[in-house]
Amino acid sequence: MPAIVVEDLVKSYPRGLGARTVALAGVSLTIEPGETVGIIGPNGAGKTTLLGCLLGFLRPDSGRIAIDGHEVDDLAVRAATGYLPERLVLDRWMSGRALLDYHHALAGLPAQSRASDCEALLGRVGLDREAADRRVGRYSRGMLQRLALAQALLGEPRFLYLDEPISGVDPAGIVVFREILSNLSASGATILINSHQLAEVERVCHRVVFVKQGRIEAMDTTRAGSAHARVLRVRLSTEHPVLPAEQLSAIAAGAAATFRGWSAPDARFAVADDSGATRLIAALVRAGIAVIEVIPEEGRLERLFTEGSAHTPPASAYAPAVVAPAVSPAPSVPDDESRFMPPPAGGGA
Amino acid sequence: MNPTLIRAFLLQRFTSPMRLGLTSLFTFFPLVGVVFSGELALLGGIAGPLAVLFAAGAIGQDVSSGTLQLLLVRPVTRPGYVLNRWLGAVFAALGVVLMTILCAVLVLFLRSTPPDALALSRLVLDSVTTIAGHAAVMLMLSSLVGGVGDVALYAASMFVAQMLIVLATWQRWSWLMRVCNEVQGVLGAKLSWAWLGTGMAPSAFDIVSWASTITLALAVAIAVMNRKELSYASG
Repeated sequence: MPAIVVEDLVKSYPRGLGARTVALAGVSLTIEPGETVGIIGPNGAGKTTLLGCLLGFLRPDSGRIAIDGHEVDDLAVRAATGYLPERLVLDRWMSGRALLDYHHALAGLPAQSRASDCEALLGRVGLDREAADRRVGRYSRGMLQRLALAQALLGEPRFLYLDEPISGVDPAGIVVFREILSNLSASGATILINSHQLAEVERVCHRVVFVKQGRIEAMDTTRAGSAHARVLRVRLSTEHPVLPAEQLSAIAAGAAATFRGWSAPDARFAVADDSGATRLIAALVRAGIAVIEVIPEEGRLERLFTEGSAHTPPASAYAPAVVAPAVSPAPSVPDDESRFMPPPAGGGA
Repeated sequence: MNPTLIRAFLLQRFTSPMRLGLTSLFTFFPLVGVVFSGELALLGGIAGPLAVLFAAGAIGQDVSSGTLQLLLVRPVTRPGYVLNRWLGAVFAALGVVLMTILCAVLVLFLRSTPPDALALSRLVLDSVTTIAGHAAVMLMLSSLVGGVGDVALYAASMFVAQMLIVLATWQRWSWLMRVCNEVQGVLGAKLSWAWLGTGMAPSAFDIVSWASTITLALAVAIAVMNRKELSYASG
């Protein structure tokens, strides 16, 4: 049974004088148990609304959501749910430890293991004793994020919803976050991440759904953008003499790529697609150039996101469509979205 | 009853400097009055204000701050949340009132003028029912407006009703007088225990009015919360 099933979900908000803003215009999505899915899209695309409907905060106009075969507000589902909100609105008057204790009790977890569970989670997210005993109101943004993540992880949830989980987190925290997600995913938890940190989404998610104007397109991160032109930064070993630009241009031309110049310590090459990248790297190695690293100037998701968003009508900075007076679907997605990869078999939009 | 929700609510209320300050204000002067006059009845007026104080923002503050979202992700139903907030407010106000009465009784014993047991019983029962009624009405108002806007709504309703009573008296409009008295009766729902120990039967109408006000107020609060959408996107 799929972990999460969303069928033809429509959600609109009243906007006065009978007009309504359509936030979700018929969203369908299936997520398998153990899958980590990223939700990306421009501001106002409907990502938060989708998460709100999945968590039972918002009531859809029509459509169906089933979590593990149950309604979203089923208490059994809630007992297995963890949520990290984007706005870190924790009870500021409590200490970090008291907040975890409180949510541990609310979650109905056994009182005998409360102290040890909370202590373990505080350690897991990297909050020391002094920080744990401090009032939440005195926490920095990064500490709040860690504490919020800890409360979301209480009871090893089977359904974890993370809204901008690494916003304001330092690099050490991001490493901790990745490790925790990896462990949770391995344990079979279904994870939904709503984030603008595309590189991180690409790194931790099995699949990404791109939300635009209340509709979604699913894509496989490993294939996303494989047919896209991009610029590669090729880092060469400093132990070898640097080749002249003419020679690099010639090697690139032989691999159907273009040498774009130096951006020390990297050489920049433009390639047409994945196979172009493969040919370029092979040509460089064949020419005896000591390549130590190749990185794209933009991540796959970043590229798709930028280009996908650029085709959206610029009006109101990607605000959902406004229709009046009755609810009607948002404008259809432009044809150019056909470049997105189809969802993998067994789950997708 | 969810002890976790109630305990957290009580902790929050009793760690708020503003509430503690106002609590001291509401209890100190009546207590001083009892010390000097020996009249326990002076404490009869503190239950209502304390109930308003402790129930103020019980729901609205959670909605405005956003903490309600995290709470409702847990296996807590919305009706359960409302009822536990009400119980929390009742326990908080009742705790303070009973402590104040206890202090007053101790003072009276020290003055060698022990209070009348019947008067004391009436005072305690009056306080319990007044607190239950006021807290329920405040919960209803708190579900309607964010933050502590319920206090403003409560004060404004009381003020308007009082002004209309003045107008009704001046114009001899008995119907308006009746309406305003009913509104004030709902806002300040309480039950008189003056009949206790007199051999008279309690007024069934008063009991039903008080109980129905509480039931209606809590039902409205639950209905509002069940329909409430929790997202800044919905706002």
